[in-house]
Amino acid sequence: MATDMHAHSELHAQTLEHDAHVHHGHDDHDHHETFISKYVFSMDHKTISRQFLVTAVIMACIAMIMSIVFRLQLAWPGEKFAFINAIMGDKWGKDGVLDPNAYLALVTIHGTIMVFMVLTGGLSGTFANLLIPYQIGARDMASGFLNMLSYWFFLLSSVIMVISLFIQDGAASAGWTIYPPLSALPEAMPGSGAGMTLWLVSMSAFIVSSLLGGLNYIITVLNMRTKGMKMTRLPLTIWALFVTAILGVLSFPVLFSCALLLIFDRSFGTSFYLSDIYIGGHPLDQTGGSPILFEHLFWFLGHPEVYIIILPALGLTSEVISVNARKPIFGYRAMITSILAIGFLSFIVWGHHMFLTGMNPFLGSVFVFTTLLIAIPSAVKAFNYITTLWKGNIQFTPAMLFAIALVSTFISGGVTGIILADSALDINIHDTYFVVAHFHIVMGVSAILGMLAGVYHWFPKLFLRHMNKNMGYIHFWITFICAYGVFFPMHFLGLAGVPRRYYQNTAFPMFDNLQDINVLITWFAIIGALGQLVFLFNFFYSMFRGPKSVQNPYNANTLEWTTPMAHTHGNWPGALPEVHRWPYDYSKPGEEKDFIPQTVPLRAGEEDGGAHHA
Amino acid sequence: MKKIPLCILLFIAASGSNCDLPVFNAEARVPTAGSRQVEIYAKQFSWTIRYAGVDNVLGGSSYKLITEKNPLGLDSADVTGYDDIIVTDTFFLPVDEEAEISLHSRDVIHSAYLPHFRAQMNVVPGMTTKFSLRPEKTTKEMRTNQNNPAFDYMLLCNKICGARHYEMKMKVVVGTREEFSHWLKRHETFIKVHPPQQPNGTEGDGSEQK
Repeated sequence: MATDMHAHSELHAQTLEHDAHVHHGHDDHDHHETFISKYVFSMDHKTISRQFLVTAVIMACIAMIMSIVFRLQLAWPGEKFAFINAIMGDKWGKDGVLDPNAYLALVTIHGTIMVFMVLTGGLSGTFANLLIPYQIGARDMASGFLNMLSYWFFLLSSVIMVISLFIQDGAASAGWTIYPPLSALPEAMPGSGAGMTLWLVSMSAFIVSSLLGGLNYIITVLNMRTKGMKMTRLPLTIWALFVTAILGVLSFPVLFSCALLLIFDRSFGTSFYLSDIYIGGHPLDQTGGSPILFEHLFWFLGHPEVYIIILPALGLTSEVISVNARKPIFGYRAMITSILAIGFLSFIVWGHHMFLTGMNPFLGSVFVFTTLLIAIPSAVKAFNYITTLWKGNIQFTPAMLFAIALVSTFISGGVTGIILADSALDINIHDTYFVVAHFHIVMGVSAILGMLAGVYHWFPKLFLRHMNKNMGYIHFWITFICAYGVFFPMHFLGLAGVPRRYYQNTAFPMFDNLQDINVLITWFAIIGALGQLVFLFNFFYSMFRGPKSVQNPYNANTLEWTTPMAHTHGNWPGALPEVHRWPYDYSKPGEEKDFIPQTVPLRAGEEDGGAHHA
Repeated sequence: MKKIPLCILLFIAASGSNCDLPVFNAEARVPTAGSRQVEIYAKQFSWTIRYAGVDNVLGGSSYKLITEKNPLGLDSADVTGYDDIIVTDTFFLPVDEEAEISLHSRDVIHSAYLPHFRAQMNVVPGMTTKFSLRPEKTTKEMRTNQNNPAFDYMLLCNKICGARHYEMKMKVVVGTREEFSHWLKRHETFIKVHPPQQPNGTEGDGSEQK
């Protein structure tokens, strides 16, 4: 096919001769492009990144509305809300009161959509696709076709997940962690019937999407860097996205195997996870299996997954902070080492999710140790962000505010991780709201803040226009204040013993005087959710009517700002750029301008900053 | 400069692994000989407690033996189970005595969470998990200390287990040894509730149950 030959000859030419094929003319197309091939089944990384972003934004809205429904139930248990009936319908929101099974379905799908579709697909999918070819100086990803498939499997998985909400017996409801036997047996809860089956189908498609994307990103970063782009001249964004892709390729297959064994237990009578069960009035045939096997397989992905989520956000933050502080990122080499250390360590800490499964305390202490270790490279990154800001010439764009806020939430959420890492302390707070507070602040809020920083900052590359700055500020302050308002009080609920995944707390008099805290949390959640409307309007309006951007609006050094302000197939009309220096020459002493793009050759006697900025 | 966090971490990890807490220290976690054997049995959506009786040995059980009259599936062929006492309303423990608790689940993963005792352990179908507990304050003492005459210790479920996960609870009471014995006597032993006979009245070895 013409397109394949074109793509193949691209790769071939690029790896052999970088600047000899000017005649290829990438802004006029050798192959005929229709509306469908340009905007729908596109193989252009820029279009695919926009597709990921818009899909993720829509999924985030769905997941956020779900959270408002269950927060209403938690704050005012049993009260009638027309809103609940409007969203949930007459079956699950009868008379405006949420059904208990539906509550569990909401928290399950909320978690699933946020963790996978929004924070993995929406963060990695959007920014790896947008930034990798741009920032390494490549015309596109190694395989545009696989890249396109990666988006369409992502869309497929999102659509199936949404369809599962309309299943008669309810969507999957065993928590986003879907432990068997609860998730394996429809007799245990109605959502474990067809709803759970669709969840597994959706996740299988999602895993395919992630793997296709991840393989592409790795191969592209390794093989398609332009002349002069050594690994140590890569922006930290690329390092972060690169290691994230490696983590994904190593860990998602384990989730797939975990899900596959669950499919077998559910449909083919196997006993990987099931043994000694009496339910529905009779004993089940399955013997010999263990739910703990599921937990190991699940968390072997589950833990690297949270780093798959946060590393891209940290990478984006490095870039946004450095550009907007007009200073090189402090400790470039240490940042790379930290990313690698976090990546490696993330594979040996999963047991901290399983401290209470009856694990030998000695094994528990091993996981305590490794979990505490992973705090070190995380802390190095946080210190380096702060040091980069110190005495910087700070430009307070909305993106910069979001990036700085990420540093705040990453630290405050991270320190509660130190407490949870201790298996003795975990005994009292496992599966309570303390954990909910921790992972929302350190992962949920931090990653969303990073994603928003990325959207605001790279909007000119995504849509050739700027978002409105004042709306950005309003959106920022509402989001930041409400995020803390929602999740900080949850630490106290957890310490007081309030468990997760409780439809209401009214069964325990010991929680009566905590109900006001739940009301406070819900109010912050409602205001925070409404605040996102400002972003949604700004985002969609600015896409079409925002002020047009210039080529390099932030005076940044990286290669994406050297491409023309029109979507150019092949990114650079003419030759690929040649790189002579690292990306962090901001406010270089002795230089007239406060930035030097990577393409500017070194003067006689000038040293590349990356050579000794460790 | 970068070594400082590492040193602090190593200090925290080392001092934590040296601690005497039985739950954290592998040697110390062998329960005291003679500690009271108790079973917490979890099912959707209630708790059942089984005391080991005079012999302090919990009788064998199997999910295949569960019937309406024998909800924990105790094996009638195992005589050590005859004096076991099964209770569904309250979890009563004598103060200052170590109880070694075995946990079993009938259906899905639950978690026995006793926040006032800072104790929690998952209950997993297909295996036995254990933890030990030594209550130090009676319910009466807590009611005085907390200035709350309505105070009660509580057992909660802390692992999502279905629609009524949020109301799977049991009251826990800690009293003196005498109060405990007095309370325990009011409940029947297994053999009294479930004599090893066939339903038609003939003697059987009791091992054939549906």
